[in-house]
Amino acid sequence: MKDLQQWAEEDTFGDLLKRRGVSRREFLSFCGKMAALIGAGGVFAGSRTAWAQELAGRLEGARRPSVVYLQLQECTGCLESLLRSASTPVEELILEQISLDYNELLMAPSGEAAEQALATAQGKPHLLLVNGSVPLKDGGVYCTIGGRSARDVLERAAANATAVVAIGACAEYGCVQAAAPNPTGAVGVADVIRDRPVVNVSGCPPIAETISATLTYYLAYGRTPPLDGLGRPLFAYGQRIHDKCPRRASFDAGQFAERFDDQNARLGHCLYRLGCKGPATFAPCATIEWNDGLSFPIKAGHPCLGCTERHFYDRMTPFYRRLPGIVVPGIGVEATANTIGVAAVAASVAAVAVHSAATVIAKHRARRAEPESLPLAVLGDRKEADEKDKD
Amino acid sequence: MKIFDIPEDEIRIELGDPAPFDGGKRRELMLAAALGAPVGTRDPVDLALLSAASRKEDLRHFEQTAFTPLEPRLARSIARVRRVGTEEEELIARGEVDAILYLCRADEATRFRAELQAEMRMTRGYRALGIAKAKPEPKGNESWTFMGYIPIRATRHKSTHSEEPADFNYVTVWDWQLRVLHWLSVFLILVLSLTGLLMGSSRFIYGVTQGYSNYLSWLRLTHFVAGWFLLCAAILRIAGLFLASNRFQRWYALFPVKKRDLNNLVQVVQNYLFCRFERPPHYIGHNPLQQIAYTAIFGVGLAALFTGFALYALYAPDHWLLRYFVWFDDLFGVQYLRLAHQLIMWIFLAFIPIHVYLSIRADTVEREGALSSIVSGGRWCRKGTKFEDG
Repeated sequence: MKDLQQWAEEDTFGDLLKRRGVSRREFLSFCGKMAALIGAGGVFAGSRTAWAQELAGRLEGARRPSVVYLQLQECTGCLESLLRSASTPVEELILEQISLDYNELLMAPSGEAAEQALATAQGKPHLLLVNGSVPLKDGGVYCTIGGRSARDVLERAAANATAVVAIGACAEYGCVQAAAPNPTGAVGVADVIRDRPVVNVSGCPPIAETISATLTYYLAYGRTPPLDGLGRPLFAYGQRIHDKCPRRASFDAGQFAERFDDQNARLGHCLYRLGCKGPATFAPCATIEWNDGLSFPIKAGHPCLGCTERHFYDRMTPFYRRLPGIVVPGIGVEATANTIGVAAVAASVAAVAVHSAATVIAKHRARRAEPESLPLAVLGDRKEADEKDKD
Repeated sequence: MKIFDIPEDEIRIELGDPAPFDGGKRRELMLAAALGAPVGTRDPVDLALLSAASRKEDLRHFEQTAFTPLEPRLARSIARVRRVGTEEEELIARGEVDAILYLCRADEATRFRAELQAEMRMTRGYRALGIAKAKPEPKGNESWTFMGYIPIRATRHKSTHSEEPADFNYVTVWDWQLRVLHWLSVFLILVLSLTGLLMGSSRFIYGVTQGYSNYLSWLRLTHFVAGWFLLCAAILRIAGLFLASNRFQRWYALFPVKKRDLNNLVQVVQNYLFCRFERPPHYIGHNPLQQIAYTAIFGVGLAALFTGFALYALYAPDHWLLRYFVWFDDLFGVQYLRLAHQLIMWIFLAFIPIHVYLSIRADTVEREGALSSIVSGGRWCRKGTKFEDG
């Protein structure tokens, strides 16, 4: 008997929606939301309305994708984020359906049955979603699933995949576990799967809507969205937090919170001097925000950590300082750039003072080293000369 | 050492600060020293004394009535002088301080004081000319008064050290384009450093605390515009390296890597460190040490531009020009780029005092005209000097 709740192979997404009783209105409002979200990055030219209609048409005709969702070396935070995106019935449906074939966290089967499900799913063309990094050091012993290393699992799953989407910073480049000194040799999916482009949905974790929008795009178009230089979907990561930040006005005015509890912080002024990495971070946080558009870190009074940028754990730290400190070798003192700079200028002025003093002394000594006076006739020296002449 | 064989124009007489005794005036002492010279003298010391005294007094008011030349044993000469139109005459004795003090029958205290003082002050080859005066008395029992002494030194100087304009050639070193670029860059770097400091430092930044303004926006705008101008200046300078006809400005002038230059580099460094007192080799343009410093600061400037534009590119990663800087952001991370950008500013700020000091020093102490040439474009070169790049 046909399970009416399930998205069958021969069904389109529109059929499924009708069977599940999702109204046309709900569906179109979802498409409108996705169009606004995907269009927010300015990637698609033309009217958003027209694009929402196009999306609706394409999505209705979408066929059920086979999806394998791997979880490798990671903390499950990305999937937690994704689960919280189920704000509309359509979104819920998309997530319910696509995560069906294989996912360690959400699937019903376990043990042999789970391995069997994976083997079946990856034998056919499918969409591969990956959470977590791949540890390569020591033969990959630091993450094994069913007795196979993460690298092995990933390579097998990717062999027949139509597209590979790396979700989260771990899958993009290794995130925290890849931070120096990277004890497990963790790398991202793109470092293992080199024969095709990998979509990187960046962030630690990524905003749920960014993940679902990427999947929606794939469902509707059957291909991955346009990417930026780091393989991130342009519609989400083509915008800088700083440019759309609600605190931007106080940045432009030069109003900065110096501490988390000072007057400027209470007035909601810019957090740049508390280490906010918004000016260097490309992410849709300031437009989509988190938890159904409730808030995001900067809005809530916490500086951006720059988690969508590569190696943010190495390069965006210290998180609560505007600039990294410099460790003075041998002493181990961490100094700021300005301390070092002021010291350098003081040293150069001192060197100038010392050198000019030395110049004066050297000139003085050179003058003192000049020969004695020649014989002076007025002091009777002529006499000696005359006597010598006589001799 | 025979002073009498030396041509007159090579003898330089230097008079020290006159030291009058018993509350006398320097002016009177100088006058007495000058009047004590024989009429029509050709002795360079006498001429120097006469010339010094005539600056203060009109010597034509005095006439010499008698002169006893320097007697070898007594080591003093005596002149008899009177003011024109008066009958009153005066005797003036000049000679070694010892001899003059003996003549004065000075008391022990004066002698001790005069001799000790003269000995202590007679450094750097100076010698003391003692002077005494007396009212003329018959039978030679005049009572002499010790007036004081004047330090005198005679040295020989080659005439090549004259400062006559005819001994110099004016050489054009820097084109006006280069000088404009230099001073434009100075201005831009100062503006960039100031706005950069104001933007980036909690010590220097002061925004408004209430209401809204565009304080930081204006700073940033100024910084970015100055940055674009500095980029233009850099492009023009780099173009000039290959297009300029002036050989001091072409690219090979930036790299003093010839063996001779490297040898000279050691000498210049030794000279700057006071390890070597002979003059280092002369250069019309930059000496090797200067040139290495300037080439390095060019590199630092390019690094400042590159890091600056890489940071600026975050604002528009797809910009037709800025897109070529974006890859740099991913190389080290934006935060370390910011750090480098700020440290580079401090390199410039530390460079400026040293650069200004050494340029002024090159003009005043070494007389190489580095400072004047970046203003006027040229410098005076002494004829006959061997220039390494001449």
